[in-house]
Amino acid sequence: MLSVFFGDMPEAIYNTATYFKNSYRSSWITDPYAVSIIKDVDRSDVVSENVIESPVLGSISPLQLSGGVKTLLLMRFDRKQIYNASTCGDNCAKWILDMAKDRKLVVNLYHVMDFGREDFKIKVVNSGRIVHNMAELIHESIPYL
Amino acid sequence: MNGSHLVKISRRRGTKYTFTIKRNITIVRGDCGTGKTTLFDMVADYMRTGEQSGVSLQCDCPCVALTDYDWRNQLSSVHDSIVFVDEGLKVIHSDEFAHHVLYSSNYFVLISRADFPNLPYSVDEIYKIKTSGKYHSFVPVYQDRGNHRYAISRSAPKQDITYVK
Repeated sequence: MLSVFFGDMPEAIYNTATYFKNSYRSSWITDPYAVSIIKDVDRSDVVSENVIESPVLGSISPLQLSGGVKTLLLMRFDRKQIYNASTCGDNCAKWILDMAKDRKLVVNLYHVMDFGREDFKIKVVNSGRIVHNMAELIHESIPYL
Repeated sequence: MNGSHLVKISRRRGTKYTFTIKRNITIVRGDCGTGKTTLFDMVADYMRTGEQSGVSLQCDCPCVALTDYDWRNQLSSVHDSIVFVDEGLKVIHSDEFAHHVLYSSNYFVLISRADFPNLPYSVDEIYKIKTSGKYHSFVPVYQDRGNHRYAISRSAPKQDITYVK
């Protein structure tokens, strides 16, 4: 299940791009799940472990992926840490929910991410309550943002 | 600093941004992969080595990227400029940073999805980046639509996931 903590969380990795730069493994990039994320969020194709073909930037290295993709890859492959998910746009929300389907995933948010119109199950760590849709999530976030 | 300032920034590889900064605080947010960090990096590259960076920047005032964690010193030497700040700088949400923004002669472009309750900014100056090929521009997140003044200008995100095998 997905758990979110709203507001400042000292133990969370805030600057995920810097953490990614110094900790990612080449093998992450060619993993089929990572390839799907990169295709969907950045609209880019993985050519090899070190080369990604972007429609805007041309051939780029994994370090030039968007901040949101970097954070999603960290959530997927480096599960020891809690990450600042406010580096992810709303187009990353479905991937966060997908990763949290079969495991516990805790993320830190400084804004209310749009998780879509469908029902979901998210635990707000600050209050301990479980919310099931965006209206409940927005209401629950108010005291902490 | 007063008035609007047109900024045109491009690089030899082809990425091009054109936008106008109208007030002292501008917020840029939006989906991932739209080019927010690329814009910031281009300003930072131009700031370091000018035209030799391969980045071309046209504006009637200096553009600065706040890259250093020694941001207090950096800001103390910048006046009448447009300062770009990326969300990677955690202090962006602090009261101390807000104080520097409020009592500065600079305009600030803050790239962050979080709200800034300690800063007075206009709902008209919250933008997302619209991409058309290699051309990028700012479009307001909240738009004037007749009877519903500030309707959010986007459709709900797609929730279906396609796995690449």
